[in-house]
Amino acid sequence: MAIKLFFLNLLTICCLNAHAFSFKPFKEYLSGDDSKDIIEKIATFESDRTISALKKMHASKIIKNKPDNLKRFKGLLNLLSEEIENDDVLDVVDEILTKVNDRLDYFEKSKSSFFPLVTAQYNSWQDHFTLKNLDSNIESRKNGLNRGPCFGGGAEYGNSFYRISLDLCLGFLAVFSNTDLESGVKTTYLKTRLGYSYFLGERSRIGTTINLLYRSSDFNVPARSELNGTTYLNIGGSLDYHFKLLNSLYFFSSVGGYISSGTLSWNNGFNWIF
Amino acid sequence: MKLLLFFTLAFPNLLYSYPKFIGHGYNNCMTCHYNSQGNGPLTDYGRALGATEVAGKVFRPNKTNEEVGKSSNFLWMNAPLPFGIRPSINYRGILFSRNVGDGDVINDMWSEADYINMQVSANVAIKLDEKDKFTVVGELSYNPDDKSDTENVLRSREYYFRFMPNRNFVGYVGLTDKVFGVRFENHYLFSKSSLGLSQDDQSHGITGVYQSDQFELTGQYFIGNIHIEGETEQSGFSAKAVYKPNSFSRFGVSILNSSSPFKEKTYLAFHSEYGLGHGASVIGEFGLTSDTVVSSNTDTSGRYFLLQATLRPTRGLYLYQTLEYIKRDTSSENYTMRLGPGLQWFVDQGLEFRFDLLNDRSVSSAASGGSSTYNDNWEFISQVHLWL
Repeated sequence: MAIKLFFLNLLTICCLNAHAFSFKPFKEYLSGDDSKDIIEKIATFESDRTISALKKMHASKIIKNKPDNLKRFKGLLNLLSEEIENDDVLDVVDEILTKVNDRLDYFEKSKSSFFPLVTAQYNSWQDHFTLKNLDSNIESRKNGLNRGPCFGGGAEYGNSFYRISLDLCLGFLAVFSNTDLESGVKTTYLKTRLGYSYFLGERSRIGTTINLLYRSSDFNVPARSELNGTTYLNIGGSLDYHFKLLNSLYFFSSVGGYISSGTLSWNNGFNWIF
Repeated sequence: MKLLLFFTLAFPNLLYSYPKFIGHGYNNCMTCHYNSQGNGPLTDYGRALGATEVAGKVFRPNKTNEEVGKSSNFLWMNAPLPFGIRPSINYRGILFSRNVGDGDVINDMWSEADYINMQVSANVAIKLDEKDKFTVVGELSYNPDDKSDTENVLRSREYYFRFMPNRNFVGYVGLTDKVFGVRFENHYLFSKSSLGLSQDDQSHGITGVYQSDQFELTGQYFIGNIHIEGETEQSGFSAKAVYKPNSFSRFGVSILNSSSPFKEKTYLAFHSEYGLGHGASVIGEFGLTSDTVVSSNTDTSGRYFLLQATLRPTRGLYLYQTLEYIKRDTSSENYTMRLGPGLQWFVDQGLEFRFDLLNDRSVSSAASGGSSTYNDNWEFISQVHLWL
């Protein structure tokens, strides 16, 4: 209904100001009629009128805000650029065509979708546990440095301007903890990340992430002692850099921290985004 | 050892090159530098490119790129000096903070810090003919706070004669950096400091480069720095081959073999520099090392890895993260990793700030003869660089 009213309005304006000019062929083409005589009719119009009509159509919200209408308008411009010989009209057609292409590109990039992903990452972070001497009842806090790979999957939602991501990975191969009591303690961990990233270029993004991490380590408990912290749940945040290396392969590098960790957490890895 | 580490960290980039600029699509160092390996004085084109594409325009927001490019010459002159003389002056200062993560981070950053006037240097490139076939390049620097060598506050780290008979071949004779791996601006990286390719490790020698659109082959024979007395200087050869499939990529391999009466070195590295457009890049280097102590004939093999990823949020500003790994002795379980988030801001032509946080994480085990470690080492490096 809106598009009909718009064309009616344009038709009225054009009819009041021109003799041979008619908006009818423009309207017919945009409504879906591809017959060749439409372009031939337009070619007979005065160039000033044609230019004015094209500019008005390009400026109208009903065309520029609706991708389907814009595509149809682009088709009209392409035909005009092939059929019309007037240089003034051609210049305007080229100018509008560039803007229409940019706008269509923007629409394409703005389409949001879900993108499943698999991830392989390396994490290194510090947390702590408490050791209690059962003879003296004295508790001491011990730091542990944990590191190792993590494998999992998740999804991203977004478009070419931003992405929201959620993933989950399990660290179970060659994951170790070092403390001042022992080294190479076998460890497993589960990590989930909720992130937002913004595209700086077509192949680079910057983002922030909230991280939730659960660790379980096989610490040896010294004699006459009690250890609290074999498992540890921690939450933290990070600053993330993302790089699109290949069509689906992304490298990311993150630096951040966990609450009460006292040092940086590192997170580097690859995502394969489908 | 700690003193050595301090000076390695405190003088990180006296001769600078920025491989991250492959993120802008520049895969040939000679686009901007007289030295094909990418450091030292800038060419006229390099200066203009720095002003129009790399640096911000904070002090001259209303100037067009054409205007800032035109005034990118020495002392902001609108045209280069006559007779092919291309001078430049640099100042570098550094605020170096250690162990900033031990306690009160913010307080430590300033109270435990040392400000060092790292370098005031004068460079000159003299083009001896109109077609740049013959060029002489020299550098002399005043290093007032370089306590690592108190007798020589004046020194030259680079001077050479360059011969370029055609666009495919370049030759150098003189004092230059050794050719090996990716020439990063920070000499504290494991790929530099641990291999004897640091800020004071230049050598006299002869270098030949063959370059085409897709290939760059470099060979160098060096004899050590003849200004340094004694027999500690290494002499030998190095070679680097780089394949450049497009303007955003460089994939290469380097080899270095050298010796002194005390030590023999053989190094091999594979490196890739990958630009992603909009100033973003990912650069990696993986190396194998073999060091032999001549007197005892003991050989130590090691390996290292480096990955530097850079983003450019806006013109002049680069955010990067460097992940490093080094295992100095492959027969040991001990190794060190380092994460270095950093920020580099080219405020305007002639002014650069850099901030680097280095978080070292050593992993050792009692089985390797060491003790179990878990504490991190921290350094925070703030730099200012002025150039004319």
